[in-house]
Amino acid sequence: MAVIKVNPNRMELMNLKKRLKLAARGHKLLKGKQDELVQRFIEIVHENRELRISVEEELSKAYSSFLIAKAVMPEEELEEAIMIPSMEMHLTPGQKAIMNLRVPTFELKAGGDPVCYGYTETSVELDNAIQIFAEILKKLVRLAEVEKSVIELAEEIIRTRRRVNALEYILMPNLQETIKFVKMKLDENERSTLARLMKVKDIVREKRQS
Amino acid sequence: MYFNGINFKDNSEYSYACAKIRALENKLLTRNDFIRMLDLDNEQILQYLIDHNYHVEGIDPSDVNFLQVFSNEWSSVVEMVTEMLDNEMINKAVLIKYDFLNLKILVKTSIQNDEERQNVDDIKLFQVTTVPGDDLKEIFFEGNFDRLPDYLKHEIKVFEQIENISPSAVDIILDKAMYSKLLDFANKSGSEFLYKYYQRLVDLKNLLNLFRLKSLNKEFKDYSMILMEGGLLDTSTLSKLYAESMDMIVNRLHYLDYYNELKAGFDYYEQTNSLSEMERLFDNWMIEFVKTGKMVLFGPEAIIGYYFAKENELKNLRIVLTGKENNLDKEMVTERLRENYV
Repeated sequence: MAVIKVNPNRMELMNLKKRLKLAARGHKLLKGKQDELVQRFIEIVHENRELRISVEEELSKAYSSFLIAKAVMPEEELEEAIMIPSMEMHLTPGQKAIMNLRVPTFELKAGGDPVCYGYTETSVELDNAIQIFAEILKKLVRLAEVEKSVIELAEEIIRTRRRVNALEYILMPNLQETIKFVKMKLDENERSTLARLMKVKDIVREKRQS
Repeated sequence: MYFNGINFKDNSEYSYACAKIRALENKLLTRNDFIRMLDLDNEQILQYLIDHNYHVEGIDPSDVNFLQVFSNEWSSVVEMVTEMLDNEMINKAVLIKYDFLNLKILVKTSIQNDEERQNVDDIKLFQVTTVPGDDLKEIFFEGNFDRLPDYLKHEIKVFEQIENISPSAVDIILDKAMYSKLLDFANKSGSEFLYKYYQRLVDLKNLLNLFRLKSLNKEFKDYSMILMEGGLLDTSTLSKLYAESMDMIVNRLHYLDYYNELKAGFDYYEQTNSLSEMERLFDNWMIEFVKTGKMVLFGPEAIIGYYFAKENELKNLRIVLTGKENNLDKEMVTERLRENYV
């Protein structure tokens, strides 16, 4: 471990001890934060996995239905049917805090009928596809929210772990080493002062005797 | 309720056309052909289509755009059929479907937001119609509606009086008007076969729509808006049925010729929550009806039958190719194939 360049005096020792105490407290807090972040991360990753599987399954169903609708209906009729969407969407972005970490939130407000076409000249397959697409939208927005939270949480965990490691393996050992060094230096100074004093005392005693 | 087979009208002017149609019927694709196509590559499918008289001139075999092939084929079929029929009313009863489709596209373009609205020159319309698409586009945007036939002029005037119309309302108004005119022209054409075909088609559309809207939990007023007149099933009967549960509706309609299809379609709906099987079975029933036209030796029935058979064939081809291109499950594709005319 590297010793920090400091003047080996009592004032510095006191400062170093204060810094070590602060670092130990910070380390404990950051370690706690890291554990909590990991716990939240695991929860949110599970939610993310479940959501993704369900969204992918539903999207696959919707696309299959849409492809069949595309096959059953002539291309021109299908394009005409879905030319103008009648559903209106409003997406309001926001933020929420997880362990003081800001993650995005999205509020989706959907209005209107997803069926934007007449029924007589369109295929039932199109209803199936449009219905699934309309239902899946809320899940898709939630998935976007959760996936972004996962990314943000993962980055925060990496940052926190780096700080914890820096405190645990660099700053605190360095401070401990420096304190040890300063203490040794101070002890050495004390011993040398004592030896000097004893020598002076001897000289004074010799002078008195002579 | 089926078409009553052979009639003895003097339809000998159709003798050449009917002979030609009989020859062309032999070139129609069968169910086995469609199933076989699922395992072929695009070049082999193209060769298959060439062997079955498809017009593929100018198509690059290494990069085939099948939608373009089908579109060209359909245009040539419509041209040939209208030329063979040579009867203004029958031709109208066949072609106005595309006039109305063109009109829907134009009306919807006019109600689109400025940001979404496409350039007028980019709007693609059907050309083989009673009013060629380009002419209709020009007339529509110039506002010179006097050049249009009455049935289109009347519908445009309807839209001029409505403000803030929804896209689905455009379809509903024009679909109802279209079927009313199809029945009208079929009736005026003197072709009993075509008139009966449209009557049954209206019935099946009304019935399928009833189940569609009920499955989507729509209110009766939505159904009453799309309910079409002119079929054999009374609209008031259908209106009353809307309040009933789906299984009750099926039971109440046990007397219909297509009850078996209705029941099988509903059973499938109960298992899968999808009405696709009912739609397919209704399409099959209409093809069975069209097949009765084959019994007429000389007459427009064979030509009209071929026209609907070809429409059905192209639908099956699109199902097969879409399934192949998108690696859809073979079973899913084959179970959606429609009954064949041959």
